Amino acid sequence: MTEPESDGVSPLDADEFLQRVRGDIALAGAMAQLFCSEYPRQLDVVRRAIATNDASAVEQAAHALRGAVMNFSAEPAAREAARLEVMGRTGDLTGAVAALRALEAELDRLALALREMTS
Amino acid sequence: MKRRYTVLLADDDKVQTAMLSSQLRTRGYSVAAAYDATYTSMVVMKSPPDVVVLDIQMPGGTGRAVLGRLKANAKTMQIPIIVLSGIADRRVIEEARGLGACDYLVKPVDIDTLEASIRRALGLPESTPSSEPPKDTTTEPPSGAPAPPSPPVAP
Repeated sequence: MTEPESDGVSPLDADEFLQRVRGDIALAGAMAQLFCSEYPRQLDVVRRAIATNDASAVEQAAHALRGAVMNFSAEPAAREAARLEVMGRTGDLTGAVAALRALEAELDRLALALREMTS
Repeated sequence: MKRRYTVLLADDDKVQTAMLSSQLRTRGYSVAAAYDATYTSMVVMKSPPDVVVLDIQMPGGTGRAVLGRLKANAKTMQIPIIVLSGIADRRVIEEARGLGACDYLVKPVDIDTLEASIRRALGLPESTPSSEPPKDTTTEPPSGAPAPPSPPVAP
């Protein structure tokens, strides 16, 4: 199974994810589909929170995204979401726009990998 | 007839809820889902489940509020509540326990871990993990059960 890579790092740990769903490919597909339909909206929430300098909302939205991607053992996306979460928690949104771009890139990579994995 | 226990999954993480719902149903549970605090409270009051699995970090601190509210209400205080969280922080764990949670699990949660917690909350014996083959009970009783009687010996 091939997965798109960035700097040699896979967007998710496919084996760990499949173990979590006990090899149920149909369930994996349903989860992937749900994630792919939800994450653009969740990114918009983060974007709006940054635009309005609402640090608490950035923290909450980034936390929700981190939780969502950890269902797929997607460490790169989880790391980027955690960065934003910390920015929100500390109230320092300097660099949040760049962090959001990095998160979006990882989420797009994850979505592509999930579609390929479950198609 | 084997009783079907009802689990309410209260979490705004729809992907995790979809996964755990499917897996719990496969294991014989009835499952209801709620994605926010208001709906969670409504469902628990209207159709009390046997156990609630609650994300304590539902948006806006509402997970904690739901836990406190359910444990303070005479109609719902006996329902066991298992808390899920993405944070493995001692203070958060102690706070959840202090509010009445019977267990605290860190996300992402594995279905075997969750089911074991549900069974403990319901006072049920441990089940055989689905990843293991069923035990051969012809020579060894299941754990917790008395030994079967010896077969009659022919004269």
